Amino acid sequence: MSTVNPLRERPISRRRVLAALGAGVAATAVSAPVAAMAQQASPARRKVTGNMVLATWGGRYSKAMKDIFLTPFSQETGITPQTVDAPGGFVPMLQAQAKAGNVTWDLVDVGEADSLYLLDNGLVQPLPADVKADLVAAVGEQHVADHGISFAAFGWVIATNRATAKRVPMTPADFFDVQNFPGRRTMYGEDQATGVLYALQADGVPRNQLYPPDLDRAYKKLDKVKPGVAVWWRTGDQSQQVLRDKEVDMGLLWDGRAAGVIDQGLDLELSFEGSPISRDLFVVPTKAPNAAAAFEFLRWYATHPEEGGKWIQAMGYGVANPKAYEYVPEKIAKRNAYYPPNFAKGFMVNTRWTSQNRADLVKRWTQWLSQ
Amino acid sequence: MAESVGATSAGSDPAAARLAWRPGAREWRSDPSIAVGLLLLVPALLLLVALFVVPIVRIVWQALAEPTFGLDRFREFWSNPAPRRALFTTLRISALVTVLCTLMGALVAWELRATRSRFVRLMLWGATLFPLWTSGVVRNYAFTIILQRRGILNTWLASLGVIAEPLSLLYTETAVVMGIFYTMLPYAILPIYASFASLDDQLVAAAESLGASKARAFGDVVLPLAAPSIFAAAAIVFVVSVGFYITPILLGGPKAPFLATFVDIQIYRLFDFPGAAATASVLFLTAFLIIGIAWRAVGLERIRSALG
Repeated sequence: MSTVNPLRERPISRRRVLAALGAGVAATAVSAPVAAMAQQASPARRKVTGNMVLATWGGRYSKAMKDIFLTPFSQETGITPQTVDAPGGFVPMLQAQAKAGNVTWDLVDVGEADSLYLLDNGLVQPLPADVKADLVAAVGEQHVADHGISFAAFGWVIATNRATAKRVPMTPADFFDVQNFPGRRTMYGEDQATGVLYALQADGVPRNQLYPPDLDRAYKKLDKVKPGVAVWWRTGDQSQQVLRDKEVDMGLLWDGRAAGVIDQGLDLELSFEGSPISRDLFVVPTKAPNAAAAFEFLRWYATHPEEGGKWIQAMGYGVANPKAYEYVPEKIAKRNAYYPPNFAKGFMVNTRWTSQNRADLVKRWTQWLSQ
Repeated sequence: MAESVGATSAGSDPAAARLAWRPGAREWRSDPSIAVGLLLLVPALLLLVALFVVPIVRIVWQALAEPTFGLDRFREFWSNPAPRRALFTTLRISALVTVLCTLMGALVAWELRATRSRFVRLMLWGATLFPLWTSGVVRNYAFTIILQRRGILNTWLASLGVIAEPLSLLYTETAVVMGIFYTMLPYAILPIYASFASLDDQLVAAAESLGASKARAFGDVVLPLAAPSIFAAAAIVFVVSVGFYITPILLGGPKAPFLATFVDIQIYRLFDFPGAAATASVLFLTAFLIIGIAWRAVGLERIRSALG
């Protein structure tokens, strides 16, 4: 069983890891730095057992989650994890469960904006102090929130099929310029703010002055790109499908999905210029039937960067533990918005702002789309 | 009970008693008493109330009562252009599908009734029933494959030289109409066929012997007799169509949502349960109204044809 417990080790700063990455260590290093990590025994904790139900995103994502994290976690701890697929439906389903007095989820992998809504409505719990301390020690402060830990950090990417597009857009301004960059486009149909953030950058607003967004200006710019958008995708699978089927030539996609299309053999050019970067959080519902198991999983996840590296390679999404990049070849890493050189071209979205304005954003977007 | 009746007429032999019971006092009747009728209805009624009436009442109630009592939710529905547009899209496409399905359904049903060829009848039944047996997801994805830019239809048209550039068929209103039409056609064919099938051939022959053309005989004899079921078929098609959810999403995309899609947006993206309840109530009331109108129309038609 698990004898290595790096929980108590000295936290390695993110900067040091990035420096190591820059030096090209990531491409070759496998497990040396991590294998040498602290060997202190785990502090005595009551053994946690039972089931743990994780609500997550379904499809390939759920499968990778099981293979990479849940199966080894189960083998090491004896906890029996289960997954429930509720892609995008986490908030209303948890609301309905809470209203019916029958919460069945122990852990939810939900977008940060939705997680704030859940927190504000008392549907998820803040992390207990000891759990939070352990997580911060393992992955660093910026990857831990009061109510959860970063997971599946993802960015947006301008993805273009080099085989079909006449010119390849490399900036938001290019993508919004349907005259000079002709081609059928796809954008996210169930958007909250991504379209707005890209539109403002396309219109010349610098990245550090995006918040609070000038919506009127953004929608004026969005009007320009609308005639060029052939498909408003609804699910990640669909965004891949329309590129694969050559229904479209270019699109704004999640980076992991774009990487998936490349793996399927399409020659995509990726540009992370102006990429809004977000993250999911693992959060624990307030009345989770087995919260202890969920916290146990969070600790396990935070201290297993090698699995994190596998996850990045399999899914293209970032993980909380920055050491995970040490296990990822550069060819794969550079398709990831969280990869430092890409991260430098993008920005972290202000999820608090999105969360506070979600109803207005969704209403305006829905209305604009159906005009 | 049977034993006691039998005992009086045929001694103690049970077999004889059962035989002797048949012409007994309590004959089988096709119209049981009201009490028995109600008793037989109870299980169905309970299910109907629990699974249908209660949820609908709860939804309408939620739309009226949350967060404060009043018609605000419905006013919001009407003042916001997005759900209003969704309502009109839903009604417009459903009406179009209803007309297409009823016309096509009547044609196919008549051919099923009139054809002398077993082969044609077999093919028609196959074509009618296969869509019913196919899973909705498969059906819709099949349309995606047929209609997409590099899909079957565009490839054919291009290879035949009909088009130079592939047509944009998928993610359009036309695609939605095609998808719903294909799904709903059997629901139009079956009731219309049922009434055609029970039609007396000799009525048409009689009309023709009195000098009516085939078309005249069909119009004056067949149609009035089949009108109630044609109306019923149209009502079924319309009511089911207004509730479509998957087809508008998969074939139409988010640009022209149906009302049911809008309910999805309200629940999953706006987290607005009362608003979704109001939208669902509007959808329900619309369907209810249509059934009411169809009911009346059929009723009046019956009376008129009865009066001659």
